[in-house]
Amino acid sequence: MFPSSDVTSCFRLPPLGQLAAGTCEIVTLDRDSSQPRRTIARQTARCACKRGQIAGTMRARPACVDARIVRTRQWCDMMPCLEDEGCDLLVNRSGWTCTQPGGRVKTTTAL
Amino acid sequence: MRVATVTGLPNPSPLLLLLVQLLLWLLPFGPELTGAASTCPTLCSCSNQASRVICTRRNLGKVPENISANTRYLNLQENSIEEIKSDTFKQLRHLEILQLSKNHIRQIEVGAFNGLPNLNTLELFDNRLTLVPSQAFEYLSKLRELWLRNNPIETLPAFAFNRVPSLRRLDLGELKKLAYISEAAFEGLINLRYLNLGMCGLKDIPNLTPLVRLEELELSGNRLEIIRPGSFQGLVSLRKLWLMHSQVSVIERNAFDDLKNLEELNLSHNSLHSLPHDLFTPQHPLERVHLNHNPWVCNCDVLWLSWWLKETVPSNTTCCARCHAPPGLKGRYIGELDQSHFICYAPVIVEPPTDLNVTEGMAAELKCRTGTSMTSVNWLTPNGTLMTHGSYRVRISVLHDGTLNFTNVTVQDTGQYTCMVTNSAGNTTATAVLNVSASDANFYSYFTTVTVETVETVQENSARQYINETFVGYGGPTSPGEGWGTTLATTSSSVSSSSLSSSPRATKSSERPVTVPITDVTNIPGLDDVMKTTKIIIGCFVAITFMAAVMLVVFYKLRKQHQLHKHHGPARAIEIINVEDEIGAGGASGVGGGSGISGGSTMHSGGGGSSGGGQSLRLHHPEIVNLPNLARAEHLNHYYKAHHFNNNVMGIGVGTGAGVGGVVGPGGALNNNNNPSPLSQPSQAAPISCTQVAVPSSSLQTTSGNSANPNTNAVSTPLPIPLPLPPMGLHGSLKGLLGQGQNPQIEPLLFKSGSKENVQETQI
Repeated sequence: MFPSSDVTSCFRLPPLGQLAAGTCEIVTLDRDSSQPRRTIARQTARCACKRGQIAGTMRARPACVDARIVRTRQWCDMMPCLEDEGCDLLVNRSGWTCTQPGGRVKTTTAL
Repeated sequence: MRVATVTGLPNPSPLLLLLVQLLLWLLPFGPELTGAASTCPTLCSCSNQASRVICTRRNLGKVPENISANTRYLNLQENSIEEIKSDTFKQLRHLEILQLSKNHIRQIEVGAFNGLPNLNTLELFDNRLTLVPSQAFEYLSKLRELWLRNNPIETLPAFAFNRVPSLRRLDLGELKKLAYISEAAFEGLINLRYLNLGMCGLKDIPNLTPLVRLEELELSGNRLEIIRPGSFQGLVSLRKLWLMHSQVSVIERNAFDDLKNLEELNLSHNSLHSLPHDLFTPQHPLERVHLNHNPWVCNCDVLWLSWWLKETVPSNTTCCARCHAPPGLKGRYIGELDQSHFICYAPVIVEPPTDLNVTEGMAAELKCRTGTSMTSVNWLTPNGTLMTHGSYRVRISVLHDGTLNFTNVTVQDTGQYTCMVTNSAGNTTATAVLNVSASDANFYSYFTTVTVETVETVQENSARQYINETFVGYGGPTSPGEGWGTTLATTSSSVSSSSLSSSPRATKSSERPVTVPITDVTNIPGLDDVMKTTKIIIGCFVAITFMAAVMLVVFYKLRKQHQLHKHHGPARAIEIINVEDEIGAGGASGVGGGSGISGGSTMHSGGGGSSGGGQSLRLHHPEIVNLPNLARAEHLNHYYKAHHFNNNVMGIGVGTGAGVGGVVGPGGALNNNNNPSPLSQPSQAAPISCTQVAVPSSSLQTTSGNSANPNTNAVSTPLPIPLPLPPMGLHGSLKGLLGQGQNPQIEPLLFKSGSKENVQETQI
C-alpha cells in the first residue's frame, strides 16, 4: 500500500509573500524517496501571472503559461520538459511524460 | 455650618447651647445676618445660606478664599482675575454655576476646576485666554454649558472638548483670533445641542461631523463666501442654521442635502445672487428661510425659489427676498414672481460626457458641464442609483461643475452613466459609457503536480506494479518476480525504453527488428533480471518454435491458396498494447505487472474478412515499430505468441485472419479502441515502444482502420505481403474473439483498462 508514512522529506516553504509579476514560487514540496530508484514528488507552485496566464510548468520549473494550455490540457504545449527531453501527453491528458535520452522517464500528473 | 458654629463656642453651658440652637433654627429666614458674617468672603455678597455668592465688579485680582462649601452659584464677573490656579474651587463640591467672564484671565491651570463634580455651567467669555484650557476640564462630568466667546483663542486643537462630552451648549463666538480649527476639534461632543461659531472670521466651515445631536448652529458673521456640499455632513439633527452676515455669495448644489431636519435657515445679509435649482428639496421640514438683504438676480434661475416660497410659506412670500436685478424687477419680492416674467429655456450641457475606456484602478471623469451652476445635476449610475453633488461615496463624487469623478474605477463601474441637468424650464440629459477594462494586475494561481521519476528503467516495471497496487488498489499483493516471470510483454514494454532507448519514439520510420527488445533484456543486471531474462529467452524459444509451426501451417495454406503476393510497400506497424490485465482472471496484480498484452488482437473487420492489419500490440506507449517485411512480422508474431504462452493473459490477440481469408489484424482492434486504452499507464512513462507488426493480409486489405487511429504513432499500414495466416487463436478467449471477429468485443476490455488507469492518475 502507499507508504505515506515513509515520506522521507517534506518541505514547507516560508509564508506566502508578494510575487513579482510573472514569477512563481514553490509552495509545497513533498518528496517520497522511500522507494528504491524511484522518487515521487508532489509539488504545488504559486504563480503571479498576468491575465490570460496561469500557473504551469515550463522547462521543469513552475512558470506562468498560457491559460488555454491548461484549459485544454495540452500539457506539452507549455514545454514542461527540459530541452533534451521528449514530451508526451498522457493519454487522458492528465499529465505528461518527459523522456530523457538515456531512457529515464518522468511522469507528471497535473492535479 | 451649624455644627461648626455650635462647636465653635467655647465651653458652652447647656442653657446657652440651647439658646444658640434656637437662634440657629431661626437663621435661615434671616440669612444675611450670620452667614455673611461667618463665611461669606469679604467684598462678596452671599445669599441663600451662602449658596449664592456674588462677587462682581470688586476689582478682585484673584478668586477670593473661604467661599462657603455650600455655594451653588458663584459669580466672579467683571473683576481683574488673571489666572486660575489649580484646586482653586476644590471645596465647592456643590457648585453648579461658575461665572468667570469679563475678567483678565490669561491662564487656567490644569486642575483649576478640580473638585467641581456638579458644575454644569462654566462661563469664561470676555477673557484673555489664548487657548482652550482643555486639560482643566477634567472631571467636569456634568458640565452642560461652556462659554468661551470673545477670547483671543487662536486654535481649536484636536479633542479640545473631548473631556466634556456632556456639553450641551458651546459658545465659541467672537474668537477673532481664531486661525485654525482642527478636523477633530469637536470630537467627542456627542451631546452638543447648540454651537456658536459666529463672528470667528471663519473662511471655511469646520468639520462638524461628530455633532450628531446638534440642533442649532450659529455661523453668522464669518467670511464663508462659498457653502459647499458636505459642510454640514453628519448634522442630521440640525434644526436651525444661521448664516447671516457671512459674505456668502455662492451656495453650491446640494449644499444642504445633509440637513434633513432643517427647520429654519437664515441666509440674510449675504451676497447671494441666486440659489441652485431645488436647493431645498431634501429639507422637508424647512419652513422658515430668511433670504432678505441679498442682491438677488431675478431670472429663470430664481423661479424655482419663487415656486418653493409660494408652496412652502405661502403666507410669508413677501417677507424677505427682493430682487436686486434686473432693473425691471428690482424691488419685487421673489415670492411674487412666476414664469410669466421670464422666458426660460431648458438647460444646456456645454460639455457633455464622452465614452471612456479606462483601466481598472485609474481615475476617471465624466464631464457634465452646464452653462450655469444654478441648475441641478443628477447622475444616474448603471446600478440605478442617483448621484448628486456632495453625495458621499468612497470613490465616486459629483463635482461642483457637474463632473462625475472616479478616484479609482473598478470593473463593476462599467456601464452607462446618464447626466441629467434640470432647471425650472426642464431638464437635459446626456449619456456616456464608461468601460473599465481589467488591469494587468497579477492574480495568483496554483499548479500542483505529482512527478514520478524512476531512476532505472528496469525498475519501471516493478514501479508500475507498485503503482497499480497502491493506487488502483488491486486486491492481492504481488511479487514483482511473478510479474516479471509472467509478463514478457511487460518487460518488453518497459524495457523497451532502454532497449529502444536510443529513439523510443522514432517508431514510425525505424525498421528496428522486433527482436531487439528481447535481446536487450538480457543486458539487465541483477539476479532477478537474469532470471527474467532466462525466462524470456525460454519464452522466446517456445514462441519461435510455435511460430515455426505456425509458419508451416501458413505456408501450407499459402501453397494451397496460391495467393502469394509480395509487396515491398510500407512497413506495417503493429502496436503492442499493454493492457492492464483485468483480462487476466485472478492475477490482477500479476497482470498489472505483466500487462497483458491486451492487445488486442482483434479482428480488423475489414469487410471481406481480410483485414489486414497486423497485430498491434501496444505497450504502454504508443511506440511503434514498423516491421518492414514478413519475416519480422512473423518474428514478432512468435514473440508475441510466446509471450502469451507464458502469460496466462487473456486478451492477447494474435491476429490470424487467414481462415477468413484475411489476416486478422489485432492492431485494428487496438486502433479502434485507440484512446482510452493504449496508453494504459501514463504515469509510468515508460517509453515503451510497441511493436506493431503488420501482418500481411492475404487479401491485401489495408487496415484502413488504423489510419483513423488518433494515436499518431500507431500508424499501422498493412503489409502488402500476402501472408495468409491460419486463423489461430492463441488464446481461448482470443479465439473466441477471432471467431467473432468483431472489434467491439475487445473494445470493452481495452476501455476498461484505460479507465482503470484514469482512476490511477486521479488518485495520484
